Amino acid sequence: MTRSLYRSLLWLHPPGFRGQFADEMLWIYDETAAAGVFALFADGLASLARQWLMSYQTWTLAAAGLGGALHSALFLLMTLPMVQLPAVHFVPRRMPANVSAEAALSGFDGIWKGSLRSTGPSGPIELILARGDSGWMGELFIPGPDGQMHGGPLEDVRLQGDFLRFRVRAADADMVFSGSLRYGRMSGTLEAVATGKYAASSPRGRRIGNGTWFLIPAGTQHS
Amino acid sequence: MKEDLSPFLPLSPAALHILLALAGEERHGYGIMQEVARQSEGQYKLGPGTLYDNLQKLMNLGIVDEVPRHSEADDPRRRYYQLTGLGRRILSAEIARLEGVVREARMHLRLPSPRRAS
Repeated sequence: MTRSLYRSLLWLHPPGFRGQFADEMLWIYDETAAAGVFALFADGLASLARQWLMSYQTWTLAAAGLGGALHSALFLLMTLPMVQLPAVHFVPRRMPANVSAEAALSGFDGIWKGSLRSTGPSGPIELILARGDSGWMGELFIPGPDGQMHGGPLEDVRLQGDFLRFRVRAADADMVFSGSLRYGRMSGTLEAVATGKYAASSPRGRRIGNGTWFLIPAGTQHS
Repeated sequence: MKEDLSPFLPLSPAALHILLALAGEERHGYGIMQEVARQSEGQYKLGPGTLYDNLQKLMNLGIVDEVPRHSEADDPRRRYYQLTGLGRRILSAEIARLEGVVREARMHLRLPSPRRAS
């Protein structure tokens, strides 16, 4: 009973945090609940408040109620086993040449290199970001199953303040990268949802993988 | 050129304890909690919510990184974390800063300096 309550509490956390840490937090709950659950719940509630109020923009608080209802509906899905991300099959594409000069002021534009760790592809990644006449665009290169780097165009690129979000389509999954730019370095989380044949065997939009990534400007030394 | 780590300092107590717990070896979340309790002799207890709030920030800043599981036999829910090179330099800078604070406090409170082992 208390475990289910704690699990519900974790599901009320923002999706990025939940996807990244909820399973491990539940494991710690299992390991420590015998010593008393009050402190765990107090700590969980404090974390919930911090995550919504500090990590996200204030406007997302309004979405929390709706999110909570959606989380409850998706609650059963959490018990389903995770599957591996499908293989990456991108179509190589060239960057558009008409990049605006004001893009240089944003801090996001340029070539970025770093690494990705996920339940699917992992390894070095490269991101090219530029602002053209019609908005932000770019391309992401990630390791494919053949060991080679494969590129895919960015879709639905959103930048607000220090926050960045974009989507990249693979053959059987949509990968959503969310993160932020801090101290000249971008980092964040990845969530993948099933499409195509993977979606046929599970509800469309089901999360099938997650991971973390970071990027620094190409040419920067970092140890 | 000397690296400017001042934007990262001072570390919060939770972040400092997490970095200290990871200074010796990579650990999973529960291992970090246990190590923090051991290092502080039970005086500082880190809950999982506080731990992962801080781990998320530290990972976003590139101070802590996730590493692959130690073995396939490991509980799949366990994830391991380690200090990055940047994290180690920040921890060293924070320790140096705290040493300065302690030195200053001893001077003002007229406390004797600790004896060095000979």
